[in-house]
Amino acid sequence: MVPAGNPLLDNLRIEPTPGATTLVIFGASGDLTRRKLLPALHTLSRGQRLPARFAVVGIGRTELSDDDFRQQFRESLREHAEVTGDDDVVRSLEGRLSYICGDTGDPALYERLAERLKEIGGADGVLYYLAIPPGVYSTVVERLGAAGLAGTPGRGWRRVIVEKPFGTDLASARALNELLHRHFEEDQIFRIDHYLGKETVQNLLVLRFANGMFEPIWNRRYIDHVQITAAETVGVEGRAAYYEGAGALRDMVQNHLMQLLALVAMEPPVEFSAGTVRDRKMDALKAVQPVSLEGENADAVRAQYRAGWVERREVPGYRSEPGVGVESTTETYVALRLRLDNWRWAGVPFYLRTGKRLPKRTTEIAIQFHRPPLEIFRRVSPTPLMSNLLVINVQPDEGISMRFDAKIPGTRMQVAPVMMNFRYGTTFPGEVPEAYETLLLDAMLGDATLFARHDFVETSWALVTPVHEAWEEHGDTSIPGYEAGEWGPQEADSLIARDGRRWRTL
Amino acid sequence: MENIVKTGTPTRARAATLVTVGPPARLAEAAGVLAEADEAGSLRHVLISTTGEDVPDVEGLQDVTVENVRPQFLNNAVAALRLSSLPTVVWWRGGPPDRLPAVATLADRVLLDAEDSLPLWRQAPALFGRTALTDFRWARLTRWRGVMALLFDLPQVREAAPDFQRLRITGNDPAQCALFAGWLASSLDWQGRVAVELERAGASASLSKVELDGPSASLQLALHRNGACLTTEARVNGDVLTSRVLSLGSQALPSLLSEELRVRSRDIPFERALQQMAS
Repeated sequence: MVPAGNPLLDNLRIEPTPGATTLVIFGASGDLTRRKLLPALHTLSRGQRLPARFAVVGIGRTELSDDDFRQQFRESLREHAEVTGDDDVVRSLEGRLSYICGDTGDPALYERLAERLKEIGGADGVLYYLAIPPGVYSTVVERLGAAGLAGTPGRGWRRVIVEKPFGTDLASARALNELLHRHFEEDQIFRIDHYLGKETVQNLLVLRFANGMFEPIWNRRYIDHVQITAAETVGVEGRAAYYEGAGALRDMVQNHLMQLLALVAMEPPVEFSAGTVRDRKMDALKAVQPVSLEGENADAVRAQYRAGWVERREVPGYRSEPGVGVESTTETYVALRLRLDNWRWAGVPFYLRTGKRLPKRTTEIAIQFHRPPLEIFRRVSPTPLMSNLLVINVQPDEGISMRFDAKIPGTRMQVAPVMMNFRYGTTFPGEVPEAYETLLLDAMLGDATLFARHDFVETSWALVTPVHEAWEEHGDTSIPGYEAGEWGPQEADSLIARDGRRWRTL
Repeated sequence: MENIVKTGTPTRARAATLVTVGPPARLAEAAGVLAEADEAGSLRHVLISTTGEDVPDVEGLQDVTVENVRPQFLNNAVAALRLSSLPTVVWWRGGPPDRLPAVATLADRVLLDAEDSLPLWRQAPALFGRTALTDFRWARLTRWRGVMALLFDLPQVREAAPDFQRLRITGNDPAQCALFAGWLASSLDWQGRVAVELERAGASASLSKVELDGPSASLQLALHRNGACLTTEARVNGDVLTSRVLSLGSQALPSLLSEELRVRSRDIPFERALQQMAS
């Protein structure tokens, strides 16, 4: 009888590693594999986070030999991980890489994959990573199922990582989930949203539920409103073909921003486990009311960037980007006002905004508290008092800031707002793991806490799809504009100004 | 929302008071280490000389230095200089071992780093309930323990584990080798079943090889010739189950100090390993 647990893992400072695993990457010669996956594997290996028995099987249409794939691995480390040396860890890891060239629609490819898995020596766990265009998901999943490679054998496991987008609307998301569920159980499916792998996003759970001081005031009695911002300075960057079919609403709001909203709004889970955390996030999402699209009081604004100046240079408007139609109405900016109908959040608006070609690359959650009920310093303070603010910086300067009022030193009673800042990089120096490292490892360990569940995906699409459809039905080619380098269109300012508030200038 | 008084670039938040205790030469070395450690900027430094000699100047560190304190008053010096608002970490680099308990009682965390650990380790079990105590020799074993644990992830190895008969550890630091043996014996509950051989080797490495053998399985960890990696091999029934080269990580003092400073709670496997050695 084999002892079930590993007695040497007790309180080991190096965190537990997964059991024997073979990672099968579909799209192994692609950009995601080069930029993210291979560097992440190297970092995990260097940190002893990979299992003793570990192998990678790359699958792609590009004709590569095993040696070519290993060469690609070395190049990927050089270009994207600044690993220039040919150290022993690199050599040891690359010896575990192999490659199969083939068409994902060809059943013979899966026979060869089955043989390769057998040759590798009966790895207990197989993790399929679909680093391929969403249009090919169905083919790969169907073929894996037909070849008997999706089912969980004896003591082993089979899991699949799916990259976003998880559909393009509610119907396609449901279809994708149905397809996946035909061959994989939900606990085998890991829908990756790299935002959830970021340290600050995980720290949001710690901030809220490991401290006693925040939760009592985390509700409508003390919070005035919440602003969630995900701003990019880049344009479509050669991704026009994808972006024209997506737009900011589907590219950013449906997944990343909804995940952030759920983490802010969720009730405390009774334990830190995948099921409970995701249940509470779902409760929060279910409380979000349909977005009002009524005329001038619509709670959704879309816009598209025009030519402007950003990142110290002049940039063209969206419609002048290569691959974008001159009459394109694809939105590059979205602002939403969301209402959550539950006891905690009734009457507290959540304002979400995201856009490309904004002045700064930054993602943050700002919790704006109510003003004090009585402003006893109003007569002596030269400036209006400001309400307290808690800002969670997700990127690029991960950290938390709190704004409160303080007396300006001097003989007069003058009050001014000050910020108290916590920055990860200063308090916890050292390398912060890349989101893909965290998420790859979690998938190997079978921990789905930081992955999107099917019901979350569908509920999120159910909120977003009517907005998108309404915009589609609008039909004409007019869409509000904003200059590249501005903080969005006038219409977004009006959306929040209707409530007597304004966006934070970041 | 914009009328914020700019407070400038945020300064490093102070995370702990680090009290370094030792003779001047060891304090001078510690100062160099602190200057390189990632955490240096977040620490409030206190250096206490245990010999009455001057504490060397430490450029770039905002220190409190204490000289001419007689050994029996070491704890008084720590008591006066600790802050209730910050955790106190004592880095014990030398000093009369009999003063350790009085100092440790004032600390949230004690990092032992003396040239001769054994007199301190004899006192340590009595302190386990009062402070979180570990040793730098333990920190040097972290990667070795991690790699051994990796091998025990394999079901075939765990299956063979009850039959292991001999542990042979080679290195030039007997205390560190014994600590590793103590960890394995306490974690695997050997109760004297496995013969432990510690061999002092002439090489510079404090620990260079670990071999664990039984009738059906053998495990071997060895320092790679480059000194920066470990080679591992697990054999079961004559077949090589796995063989890898893994990074040993940095064994430099600044890295080890950083690792130890991240630990804020009791390290039960270390405590058990010391108790195992004592038995």
